[in-house]
Amino acid sequence: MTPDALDAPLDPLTERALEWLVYLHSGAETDADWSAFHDWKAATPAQRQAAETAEQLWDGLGTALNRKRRAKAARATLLSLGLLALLAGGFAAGVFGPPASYFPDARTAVGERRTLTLADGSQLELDAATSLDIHFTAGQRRLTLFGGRIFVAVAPDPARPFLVEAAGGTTRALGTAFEVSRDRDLVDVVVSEHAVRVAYPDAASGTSVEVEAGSEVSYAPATGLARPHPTDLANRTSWRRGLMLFDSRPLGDVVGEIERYRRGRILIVDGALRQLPVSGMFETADTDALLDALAEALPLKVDKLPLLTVIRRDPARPLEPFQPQK
Amino acid sequence: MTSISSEQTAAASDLDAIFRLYYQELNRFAYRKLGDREAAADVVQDAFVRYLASDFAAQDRQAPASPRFFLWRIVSNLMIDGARRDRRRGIHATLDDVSEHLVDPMPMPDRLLESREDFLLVKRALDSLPFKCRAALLLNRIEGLTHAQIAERLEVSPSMVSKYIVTALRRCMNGLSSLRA
Repeated sequence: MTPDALDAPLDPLTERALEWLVYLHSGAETDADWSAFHDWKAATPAQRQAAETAEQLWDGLGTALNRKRRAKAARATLLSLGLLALLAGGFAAGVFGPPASYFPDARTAVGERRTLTLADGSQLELDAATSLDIHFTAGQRRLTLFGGRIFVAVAPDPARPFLVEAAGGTTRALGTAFEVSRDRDLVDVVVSEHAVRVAYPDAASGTSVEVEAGSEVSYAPATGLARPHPTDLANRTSWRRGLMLFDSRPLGDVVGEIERYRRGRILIVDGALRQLPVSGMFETADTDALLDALAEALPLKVDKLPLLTVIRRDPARPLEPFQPQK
Repeated sequence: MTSISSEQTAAASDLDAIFRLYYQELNRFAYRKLGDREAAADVVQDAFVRYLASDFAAQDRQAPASPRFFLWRIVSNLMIDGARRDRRRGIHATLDDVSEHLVDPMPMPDRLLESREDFLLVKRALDSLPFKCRAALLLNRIEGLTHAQIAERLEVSPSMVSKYIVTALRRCMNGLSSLRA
C-alpha cells in the first residue's frame, strides 16, 4: 500500500471518532469533554459503531507499538535466572543453614494462618497475607518482614541476637514475645513479654527506643519513630485466636483488617464512611458475617462481588454511629 | 527472594488511587445522564469491577490504555446499551453479566488487532510513519505524555502533535481496511 493510500481520508464518522479520541488524550481534556464524546456516541448507532472501532484501535495499539516492554520482560527473566543461581549457590555454601531447618517460603495466603518452629526453637506465627525471609547465621537470627503480621516467641540464645527487619526499621528482641505488623511503610510493634529495642530508620543513626511488655510503638517515613504507648494486649493479639476485636476502630482500619482474610479488594466509595466507628468481635474465618453485620449496624450498603466488595452509603439511613453487638 | 507481596501491595494501592481519582467524576457523569443516584452508582461500580477483572485477566497485556479511558468507555457504553435493554432486568442482570466476565479471561474482547494479520498490518502502517509522527503517537499512547509536553520535545506546536497522531491512527485504519475490503 502506498503512503498516499494510507493517508486517504476515512469515512467522516471514523475521522471524527479518531479526532475525539486524540483530543481526549491530549492532556487538555476535561470530564465535560468525555461527557460530550458520550453524547456524540449515543446520538446514532453509526456514531456508536465508529467510536467503537476507534476505541478498539486505540486500546489495541499498545501491543503493536510497544517493543520496550518486551525487552524489559526478557531482562526480568534473566534476572530471576540469576537469582536462582544465587539461591543455589547459597544452598551450596550453607548460608541458610541445613535444609531441614530452612523455611524457603514463609508466606501465608489471604485467610491463612500458620505457625512455624524455627531452627533455634523460636515460635513464629504468621497472620494471613504475610510474607517474610528468614536468615539465620552463626552470628545472628534475622527475619525480614515484607508485609502482613507475625508474632514471635523467641528462644533464648545470648550468642545470637534475634532481629526483625521491616520497612527500614529493626526490632531487636530482649528475651521476648512480640508482634510486628507491616502495612506498606507503616510498621507496628506490640510487645507481649519482656522488651524489645526498636531502631528506625536504622541502628547506626542512633534513633532507637525500648518498648516494654504491654506497650506498642509504630514507625513510618512520615512520622518517624513514634513514642511507645500502653496497648490492650488481648485486643491486639486476638488475631492469633482467629478473632478480630474492634473497640471504636474507624471503618477504614477495619476494612484493612478484613482484607487480610478476604480474597479480592474492598473499596469504600464515600470517604466520610472511613471514619465511622466499629466495635465488636468477629471471626477471621467468616468475613461475610462481619460485612453483613456492618451493613446492618451502620448506614452502609455492602455489595459482595467476585474479587470486589464495595461499601457505599445507604442514603435511606442517617450517618450516625451504632455499635454492633455480637 | 520474596518480592511478590510488595508487588501485590503496589497493585492494590494503584487501584485505590485510580478509584479515588475517577470515582467522583464518573459518578457525576452517570448521575447527570441517568438522573438516578442508585442507577448511576450501579453503573460506575460495574465499570470498576470490569476494570478490576480486566486487570486480573490481562496482567501481561502490553501497554494497556489509560484507566481513565477504560473507565469512561465502559460507563458510557453501559449507559448506551443499558438504555436499549429491558429496564426490568436491572442490577441483577448487570451483576450476572459481570460474573460471566470475571470467569471469562477476556472481558470486553476487542475484535480489532486480535488476529496476527491485523497486528502485522498495523505494525506495517506504524513503520511507514515519518519519525515525528510515530514519536508523537508513541509518547502519547505509551508514555502518557500530554500534547503540550510532546510539542516541546519535538519542537512543533501542540496542534501539530494532534495532527501527527490523527495521521498515525488514520494510517492504521487504512492499513486495516485494505485487508477487509
